[in-house]
Amino acid sequence: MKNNNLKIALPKGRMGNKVYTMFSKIGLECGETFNDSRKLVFHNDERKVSYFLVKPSDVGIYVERGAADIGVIGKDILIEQQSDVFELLDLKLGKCSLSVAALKGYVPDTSKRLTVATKYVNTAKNYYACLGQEVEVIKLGGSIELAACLGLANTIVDIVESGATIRENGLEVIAEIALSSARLISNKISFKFKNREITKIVGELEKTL
Amino acid sequence: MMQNFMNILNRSELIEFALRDIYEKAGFSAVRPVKFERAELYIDNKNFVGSGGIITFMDTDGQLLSLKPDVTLSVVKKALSAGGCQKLYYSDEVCRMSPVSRKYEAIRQIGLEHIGDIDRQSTEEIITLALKSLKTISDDYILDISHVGFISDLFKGLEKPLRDAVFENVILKSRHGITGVLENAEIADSLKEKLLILPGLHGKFSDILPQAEKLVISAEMENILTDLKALYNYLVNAGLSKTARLDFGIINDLSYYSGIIFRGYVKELSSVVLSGGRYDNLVRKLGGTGGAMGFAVKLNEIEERV
Repeated sequence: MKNNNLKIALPKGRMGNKVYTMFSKIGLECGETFNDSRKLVFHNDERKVSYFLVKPSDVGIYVERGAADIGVIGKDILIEQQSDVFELLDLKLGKCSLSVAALKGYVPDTSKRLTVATKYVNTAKNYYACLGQEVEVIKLGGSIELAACLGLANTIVDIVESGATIRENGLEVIAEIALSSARLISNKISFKFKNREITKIVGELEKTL
Repeated sequence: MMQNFMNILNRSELIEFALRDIYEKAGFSAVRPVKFERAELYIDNKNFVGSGGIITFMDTDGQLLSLKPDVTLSVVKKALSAGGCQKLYYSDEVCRMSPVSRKYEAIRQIGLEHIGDIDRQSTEEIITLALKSLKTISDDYILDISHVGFISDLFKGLEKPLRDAVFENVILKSRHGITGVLENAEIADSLKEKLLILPGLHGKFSDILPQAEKLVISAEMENILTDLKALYNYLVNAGLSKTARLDFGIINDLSYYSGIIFRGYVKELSSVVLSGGRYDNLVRKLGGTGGAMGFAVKLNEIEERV
């Protein structure tokens, strides 16, 4: 890898592939098989870019700490992690909403403390703190809906795309916290020293939207 | 029997001594901040210190003390009790929470404070010293300059939630974010247009000053721009303008800061290495009347990465 290449962190998986297609459209393809590969690093030394495939929830850390100059991350994760980065562009991919859901017909019992199950611990805490509501937040790794079905929690905070999973499990959305989609983020220092390169990419990507 | 100790100093120690030399030559004198400060100083000025807790403990007489999370408050308080105009520098350690690990860490800092009447000349001197400090650390450096008063005038008419949301997106340099926030906001289109310019207001003085001109809606903003132009002319004449930039996305708490604020970066480090500004309002909060301006340089990361 050339040391002065612009380092781009992409989320491994479907979203990363879509984003890579966008980058190839503006001439930043890397000429190697991007999919179906165990490789995690790809280069285009001519256009001076290198891609790293990282776990979606790790993109923020790579960019914040400057291991990558720019990266693509869901707004939901950005809100949760509060990464200290610049958020330069909404790529309008992977649209969903961060929502609160509960069993259909759920009526809050104001005499008891509310229990909330979620992957988004900070987001849930902040949301209920703004409402002045005392909550116990239970961190789960996945299948969050189940927590409401089995009575582990009164409500859940999770991302909702079509809403099908929520409905199929007998839940309904009771509040929307924020809208999410893929965002192009930049390390704050890289944005200063590689401003021309980064601004050019932002401008070209914006035209493809 | 003085020996030559140069060969046993590490990079950050060498830089520390080089900076002390620069500050001494500029007429700043060394001050030794107290080791433990009364905790209430930081509790009362939580927003100046920034997020994260303070390490406190009880002294033998029952007084609640703390390991300093910041040096400026302590130095300014001490200087105000001595009175008069003072140019001071310090080299000290602060204890604060790392935003990454969310644990306390000790950060080695060197910094200077000019307390008293701050005129144009003293402002220029401090900006010059900030640039010289950065150059001592690395050949690849940038100093971003902003002014707390400039964009705050644009926000005066806005309701707090809207103001906070716009502020947040200006800091993130997120034009799409501001567009979203303003979509349903009931404010004049002319003001919307101005607010949409804000995330892009960063870069060379020569590029950004004309854009900033378009935002002016008050005499105060006009005056600030005049001052920034004068500062730029000074930097050009002093041959220092190449690495100085304007960035109105740097926003600090107005209840402490009152004028020019700035941040310095070097290419080798992934976070801000120097930060400072004018903080007359802090002086007022501590019961003083004059002005104050200064900056601090973080030495920790230099040792590890430069």
